[in-house]
Amino acid sequence: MYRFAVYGKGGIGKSTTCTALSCAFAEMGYRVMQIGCDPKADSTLYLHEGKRIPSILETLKKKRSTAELDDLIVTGYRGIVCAESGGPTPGLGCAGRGIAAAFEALEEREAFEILKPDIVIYDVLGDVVCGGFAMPIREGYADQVYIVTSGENMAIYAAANIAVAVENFRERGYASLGGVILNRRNVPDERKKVEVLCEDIHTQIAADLPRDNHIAEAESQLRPVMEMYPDCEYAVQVRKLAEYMIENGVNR
Amino acid sequence: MGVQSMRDWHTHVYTSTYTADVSGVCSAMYELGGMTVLHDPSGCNSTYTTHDEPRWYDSKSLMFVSGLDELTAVYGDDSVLINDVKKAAEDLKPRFITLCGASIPHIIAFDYRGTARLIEKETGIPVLPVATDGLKSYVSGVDLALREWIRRFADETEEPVKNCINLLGVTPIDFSGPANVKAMKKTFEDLGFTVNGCFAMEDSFENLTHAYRASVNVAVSSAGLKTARYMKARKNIPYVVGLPVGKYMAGRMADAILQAQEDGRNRTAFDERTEGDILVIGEEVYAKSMAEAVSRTGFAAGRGLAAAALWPDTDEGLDEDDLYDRVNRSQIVICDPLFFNVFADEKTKMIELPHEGYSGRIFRDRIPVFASGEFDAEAFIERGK
Repeated sequence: MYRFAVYGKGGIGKSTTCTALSCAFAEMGYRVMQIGCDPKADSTLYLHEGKRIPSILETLKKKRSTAELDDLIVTGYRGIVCAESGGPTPGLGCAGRGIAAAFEALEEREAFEILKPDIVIYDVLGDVVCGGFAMPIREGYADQVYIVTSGENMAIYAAANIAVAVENFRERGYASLGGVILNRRNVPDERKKVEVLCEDIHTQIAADLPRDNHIAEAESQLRPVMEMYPDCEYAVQVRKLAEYMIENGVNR
Repeated sequence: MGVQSMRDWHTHVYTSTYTADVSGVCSAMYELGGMTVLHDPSGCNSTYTTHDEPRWYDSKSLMFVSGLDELTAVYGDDSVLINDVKKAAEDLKPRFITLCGASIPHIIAFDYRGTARLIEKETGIPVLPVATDGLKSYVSGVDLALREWIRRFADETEEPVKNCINLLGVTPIDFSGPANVKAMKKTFEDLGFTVNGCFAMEDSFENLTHAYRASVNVAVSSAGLKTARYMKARKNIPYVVGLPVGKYMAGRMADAILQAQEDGRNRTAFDERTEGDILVIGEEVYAKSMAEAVSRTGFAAGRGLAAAALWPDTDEGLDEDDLYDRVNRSQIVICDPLFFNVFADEKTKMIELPHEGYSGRIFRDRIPVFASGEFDAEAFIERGK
């Protein structure tokens, strides 16, 4: 089982990248599980035709300890197992604790032993702002972290902070940094800026994903771009990224 | 005593709560020579130990509270805890350290596993992460701690030996002093079994490392179930759930153990009854075993009565509405005396069966030796006449 956590600045395209990666891994014949770690609960949206699925926390709130594993997951496009941690209304409660509670709920129900996914992708909200948001990279969860960034300065700063957090936690047996995914916004010197970032955080660019309008067109039809436009340049590069992640991955 | 939570739509008006999970960890680890650290703001570790862990009251033990404060929690500054534990470990040189905690570390998603790894690296002493949350009952804490201990220290190269059993889930919270544990061991030995390990009373660290010699595990309380399931998954050791309360239950236990040893399947040694004219309130395995023993007495059979059990939920405690309803539908109730004040009325006969997990030391002198083939269920139920 390969387990990847995908981090990056808010709005940088993590969910789009994760969804495309899930599709690419599924195309390769792997059994894939994608877990959205965001109170908005929209990571897997286009894997089930744009329909919202009940988040793990919503289900736990209703059913408490009687909630079964099947209540917490939905199977979507190409058999991809989708789960959304969910979380409180913005400004209330504790989103980090929510992610931790969702993870504990999956663990208590032995989700990975029962579902036996080959690939698990954690799509994590924004920055590693508290303990809850570090859950996906703790021992027993993801083995490798990929950071999505563009060449925009704020995205690069966020990526650098995430890399520092990953490095700081290394001694605890946490995940290691797998690489940086350049998701282009077509800013000047974009690749060069991200290469400098990679030198600073001692990693490499794992993929160079083009800005591609096919993504928005597919989303307007509530479908993943990999399904609607499987031959577009973005899809081609995502498949290469999926292969890269397997070749450089940790299979446990 | 307990800091266990209640359902948010219920209020406990009359009844107390059961001992909390952190106390369960302290109790399970007490005799094994380790240092137990509770990550929590409380400066008063007697909250978890004096009241809930009876041996702590008058003997030495290595239990500490971290004294977590607001800013340390907000900043997630684990170095404070790590350095304090390191200093204490240098002075006291424990054989191992158990790290558990209450609700605040839980809420900030404190990283038990990662922090345990760091302390272990600094001290060279094994550290067991036990992620309690202070919101569940002792049953959960005992079980998590025992499972982690076995995961870390039990020798997995051992092979099962015929008629060799482990007793899982044994702490003073359910069994009070050593009299019950000695009697329970003797009962199993008289039935022809060797008690390989008793987790974790009246036994030793060294002996318990041979846990995988057992051919069958016996969960004598629900605090041994997670551990039993873990050992089943790990080395395919089947388990039997039940307690030898009197001669009849001792026989049922022996049959179930032999069958489990033969076919490798898990078993319970009591019938599941959801309703009965006699109600036994207490920890699940103990209450169900007692209910089975009582149902098989001449007293119950002669009157056409059967006994059923009611027990505290590990997550949410004992719902007072359910409790009130069940007690009112019963002719006889066997329970801790603390329940008497709430529900005693002339129609219902109450028979006391004190439980340290509920009333602590208050009624300890009145706790009978129940975990024995020699326990006289007939005489016990006759008291309610």
